[in-house]
Amino acid sequence: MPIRRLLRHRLFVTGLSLFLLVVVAAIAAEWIASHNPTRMNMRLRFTAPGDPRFLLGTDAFGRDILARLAHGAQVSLRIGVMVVVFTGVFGTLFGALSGYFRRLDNPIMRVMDAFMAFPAIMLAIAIAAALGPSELNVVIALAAVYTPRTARIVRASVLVVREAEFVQAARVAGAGDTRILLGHVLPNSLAPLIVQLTFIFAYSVLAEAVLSFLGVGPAPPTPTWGNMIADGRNFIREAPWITLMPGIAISITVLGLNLLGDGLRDVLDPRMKVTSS
Amino acid sequence: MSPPLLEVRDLTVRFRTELGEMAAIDGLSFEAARGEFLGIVGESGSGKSVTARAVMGLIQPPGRISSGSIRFAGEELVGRPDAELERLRGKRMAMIFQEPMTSLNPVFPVGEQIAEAARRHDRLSRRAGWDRAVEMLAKVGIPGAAERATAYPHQLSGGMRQRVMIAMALVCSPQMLIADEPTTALDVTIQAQILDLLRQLRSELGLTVLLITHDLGVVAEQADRVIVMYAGRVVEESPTASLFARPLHPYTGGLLDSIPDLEHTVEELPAIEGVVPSPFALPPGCRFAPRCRFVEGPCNASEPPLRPVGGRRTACRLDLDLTRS
Amino acid sequence: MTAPLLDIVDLKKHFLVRRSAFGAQRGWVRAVDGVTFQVRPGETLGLVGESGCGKSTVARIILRLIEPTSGAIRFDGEDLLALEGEALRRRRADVQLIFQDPYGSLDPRQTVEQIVGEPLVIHGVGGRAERRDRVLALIERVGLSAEHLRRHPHEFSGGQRQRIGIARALALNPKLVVCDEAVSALDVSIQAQVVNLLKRLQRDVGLTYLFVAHDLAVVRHISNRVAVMYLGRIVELAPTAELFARPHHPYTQALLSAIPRPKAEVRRSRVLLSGDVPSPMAPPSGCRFHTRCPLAVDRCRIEDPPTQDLGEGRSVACHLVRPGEAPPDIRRAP
Repeated sequence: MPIRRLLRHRLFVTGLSLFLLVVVAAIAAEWIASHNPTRMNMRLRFTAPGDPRFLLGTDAFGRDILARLAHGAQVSLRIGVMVVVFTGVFGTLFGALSGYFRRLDNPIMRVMDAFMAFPAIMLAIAIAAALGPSELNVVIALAAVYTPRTARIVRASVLVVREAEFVQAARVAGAGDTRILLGHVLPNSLAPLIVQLTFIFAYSVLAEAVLSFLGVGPAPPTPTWGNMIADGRNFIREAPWITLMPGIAISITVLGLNLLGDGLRDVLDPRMKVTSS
Repeated sequence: MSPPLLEVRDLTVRFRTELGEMAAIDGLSFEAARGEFLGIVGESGSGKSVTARAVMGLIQPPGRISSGSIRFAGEELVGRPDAELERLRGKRMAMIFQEPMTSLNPVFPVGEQIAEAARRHDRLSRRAGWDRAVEMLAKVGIPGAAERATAYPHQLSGGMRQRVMIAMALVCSPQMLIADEPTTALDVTIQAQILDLLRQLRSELGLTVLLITHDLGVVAEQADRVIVMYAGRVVEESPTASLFARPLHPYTGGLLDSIPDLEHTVEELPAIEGVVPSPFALPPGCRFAPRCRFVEGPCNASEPPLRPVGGRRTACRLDLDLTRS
Repeated sequence: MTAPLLDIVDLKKHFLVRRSAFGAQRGWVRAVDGVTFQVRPGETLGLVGESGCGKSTVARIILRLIEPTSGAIRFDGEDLLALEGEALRRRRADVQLIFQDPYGSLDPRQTVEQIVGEPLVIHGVGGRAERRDRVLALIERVGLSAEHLRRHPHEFSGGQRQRIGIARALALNPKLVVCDEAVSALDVSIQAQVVNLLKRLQRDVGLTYLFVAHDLAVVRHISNRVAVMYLGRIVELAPTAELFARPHHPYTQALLSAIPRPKAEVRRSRVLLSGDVPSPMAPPSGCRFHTRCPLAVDRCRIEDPPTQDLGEGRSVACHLVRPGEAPPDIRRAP
């Protein structure tokens, strides 16, 4: 059972715990942070962490950092989930079509190559800047950037699985392309995709922060981790916690997702498995 | 009689797996005399390959030798540091494998790889190493050795690659060669060539050969003595001719019967029913009992020891007459 | 004589290969190069040869998994190569395949019930309940039981997996079953079980087998007739008993002589072939076997030997074989 094996994988469990911490923070944002994340209070600005009312301190406008972090987690996770869904759907679609039908391979993959010719983050910035600052546009930009990479991975594993004997067996039994592709090839090609998607989730959290920091993410005062870092950068000497706190939040999320992905890879990807005869 | 070259006593090798720890070989004892050609036969899961690797000192975690002793030319090998074993490998004992392609480096000419093996153990000049390589290639029957030495592994056929592996294994004149399924990946006509070569080299060089195989036909023609393994244990040990004429253990007999022969025609092959037991769920008594035609009550009670019978050994409690027509 | 179930005439398959990464060297591999044979209903025809001789390619062409370069295949009186689309899909029910690799040929994500039942679903046989009964009957016929239906392939041993593959091949009541090295990957004791099963099924259901293998002893045991292939051609075809008792073609003789024998007493004077099988990209001129044949004469190097019908179901492609005379003998080679 892969689930039992996953739960015995120490790094996976660590990663899962870190990630769940962020998820819980996002879900329980209203309850964790009694303060409104966007309410300013100039008299209480630059409160240092440890204050009984503001556990993680306040920023330059006197907003509660804990509340902003928790609400920022909602934004990050929402973007991450949406990017993963878009990338997963389109990456699988393009990858499966080009890996399975040889005639479609060249046209599809050359378009994907064209996207991949640009550095990922530059392309994302360009798309996000062109579309305007909003959460949905960040999702579209990141999905556009990560879909070609995902498609390549799906295509590679489809190319391997389509040659498997059980696929030939289905053809001998009279199965058509649709049945073979959906019933046999895709289900057996998904392991690397799942691993890849956890990494894409992590990249998305990071990329969202970068885009927000550069001002092409969700517009302020929306509490996102990138916006928070951008807000705090002018006060980094006087009030380092304003930038440090969202920085730590990003690190925890990205680290958690990466460990999770490594664990999944160890367990799901048979190429990594060690066997003895 | 001179002391044996290889002496294995009560060897147990355990592997840690997801399902827990299991013994791949369990209390294995055998010996091989100098110059002897010993066949080790077994099906998958019998532990024959683990035996070969244990003797070569190649058991890596998650596997370990948990008890027993391996003496080679009077010296104990179990517990020796890796560096010492490494010096022994190649120099005094060598091994060839089923798939020569994976043991050869694809980016170097085969001659260079043999020369390097020679120079690793014997101090030789570059030139002398190369000459030695060409000489070895000629010795293993590669035509145009000087020219073939410059070939890359992928330019050679499967049979030629196996010859190259044999040349590499023998370049430092080891005393013992372990051949682990050396002909399984080859076609019959090529297999016959390689087996012939092994036999010839053995008498020419006075080698001790341990031939590990699943193919009883292969040992019948080559080995002086045969050890039959089943589920991690020796079930029978016997000179080749008597093993085939009158097997002592029902497993050996069943194995011989289940091979279709080229002379007689039968409607149904006398197969051994059932499957090899899982190493995690071994039967309490004789490991072959669940599949045995002759099984009796006591067979299921305790594991029978390997007992001597007229210069042979069998792990069957019963005195069966399995003489073959 | 009954009409053949499968009639193959002058079948050829040439693959285009590029040898270097940059496609500089191109060439044609003549994997199958003019193969003609028939399979009669109810019989087992063994197709033997060493790796690269083209026997598996022949099997895959018959299953329409590979398209041949030229040649004709008639199956049950119908031109098999002319079938397309729906007609081909329906015809597939009649020709099934048992694979060599019991690990790769079963979808690891399916249960036994899904694997064996898939052909029935594809061809719309019966309702859910009826299919279930048929799958159960099939599974029991190959020696497994109802408790196995919900398990996945990884829970089975190699021999059991092969039984599952056999049950799947039988699901649609095929007329011809192609066994491509079906027992080669199995341990000796398990191999005997599966061979017995295949023979029993043939007897009970009246199957016809094309048994592709490299193990001559197994082929001898299961086949009525045997065709020996070398470098894309059939060099000899004869009823099993005759072929093994009196092999005519020098290659057949060499092949039989090379088999290691477990019965020590029958160790005979072995004739070793020298050299390797030539590359099918550049088959030798004349007779393809002449480079390794200890009896080859000048004519063999120049002239491609035609297949001669020697009567009594034997045909041989060798210049040295003459009707009415004793066959050549490689043990008497100079």
